[in-house]
Amino acid sequence: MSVTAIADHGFEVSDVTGQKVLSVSNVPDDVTVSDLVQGLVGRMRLPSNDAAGRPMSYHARLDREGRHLQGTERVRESLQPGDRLVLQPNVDAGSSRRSDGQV
Amino acid sequence: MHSDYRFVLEVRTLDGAVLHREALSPDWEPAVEATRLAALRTGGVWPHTGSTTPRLEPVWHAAAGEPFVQAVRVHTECEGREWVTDIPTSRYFNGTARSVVAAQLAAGRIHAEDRVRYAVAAYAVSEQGHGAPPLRFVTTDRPQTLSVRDRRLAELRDLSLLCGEVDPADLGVVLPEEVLDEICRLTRDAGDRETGGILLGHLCRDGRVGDIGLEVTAHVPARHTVGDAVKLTFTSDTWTDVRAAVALRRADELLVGWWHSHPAAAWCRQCPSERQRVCQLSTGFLSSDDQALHRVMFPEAYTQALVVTNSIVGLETKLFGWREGVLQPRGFHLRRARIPGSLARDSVRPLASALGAACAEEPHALPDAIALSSQ
Repeated sequence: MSVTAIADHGFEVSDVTGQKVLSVSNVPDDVTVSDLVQGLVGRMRLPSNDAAGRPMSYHARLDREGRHLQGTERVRESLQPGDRLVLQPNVDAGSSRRSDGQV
Repeated sequence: MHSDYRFVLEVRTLDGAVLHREALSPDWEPAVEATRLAALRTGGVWPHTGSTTPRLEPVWHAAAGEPFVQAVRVHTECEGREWVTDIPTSRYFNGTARSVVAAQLAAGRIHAEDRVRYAVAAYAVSEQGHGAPPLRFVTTDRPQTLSVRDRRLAELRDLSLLCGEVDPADLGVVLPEEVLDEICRLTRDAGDRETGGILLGHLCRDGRVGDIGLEVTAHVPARHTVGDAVKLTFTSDTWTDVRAAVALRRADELLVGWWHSHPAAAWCRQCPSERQRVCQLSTGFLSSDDQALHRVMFPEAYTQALVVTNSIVGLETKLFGWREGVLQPRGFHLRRARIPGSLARDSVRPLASALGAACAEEPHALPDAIALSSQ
């Protein structure tokens, strides 16, 4: 498959609920999965930090292959036209402390 | 989100002296989602925020006047029509204000005995600052159709107990007793560890009354989590599992929220039982982490967060949902099933019995609950 295919024909990215979906195309050769995720988090209005202000960790799940893409992978090498990536975070609930601002 | 204003939080003494000012970088997403839900409930449309950028403007404080703000007005468009919602700022920024005051307290600029109040001010932006760097690739929004079923809401609430604090403006939520019963059993089985799951369901439109309700249909226990007594991490594999379950069920269900447990009996084990019975940790609450999780995963205004507290007095259930962009405790209808010795029924605080004449006199009773009492 031509490496220009993914740059032209694109793929989709969604959040876990499937309510936010973007088509992505014209991806430069050197864009990594990490670059992609970082750009899409803001574009999809997903929080980039957790409650403590620490950067959130979003994984890019490629259902076609049943795996998470590594951040260092090149987008054009790992994805095919028509693929769908799902951005899935590691996210914490909990804390027994009931501090100011808690509901 | 577009706004021609920048927002500032001012902390003042009761006599008006300014103690601290802090520029705000508001997360307006919950406010936008509140506007979308209002459009769905009143107009049956689901605005796609990708095609037209929502716009935000201040509503000046009625008494204090400009630049002080009593609400922000969110404008969004759909099908050629504009939808507008006013979001009160007092509640929207309450959490931020508390954090700012706590920081000032920690820095010694205010003292524990000081009484302060806060106000939100808005100032016109003379020139737009630099936004996020442009993306190196092209993105296009793909608006998703929101599935809404036609269903009579009264039918949905048939044979149900009204539980918790009910705000008439809230989206009605129906939770099947068998679902809550399983959640309670998982909570009890988890013992001293937090556990959780994802709520699935449908939005339902009643054309007769012109409103929307939420029916929870099932829950998916959260697997591949990492949990202990005070923290529960939902991992990427958790979400993969949930999505697979939804696909397998083929019931066109939405992810409508989540639940998790608070093992308060474990937290408070070192305290005397008398203190445990009245401890705030033994009542349902959403921690800052819980609220942040809900914001990340469930920003849509129709989504819910259920907390099951396992304390010395037993299991207690509390539901939280978005109200004007802020997560608030709220009531719900527990649709009863024929389960003897139901854990679910023991875990809720019914606002009124669905049977009995007292229901008709209950100020928060809904018309269908009154009708049920006459059967």
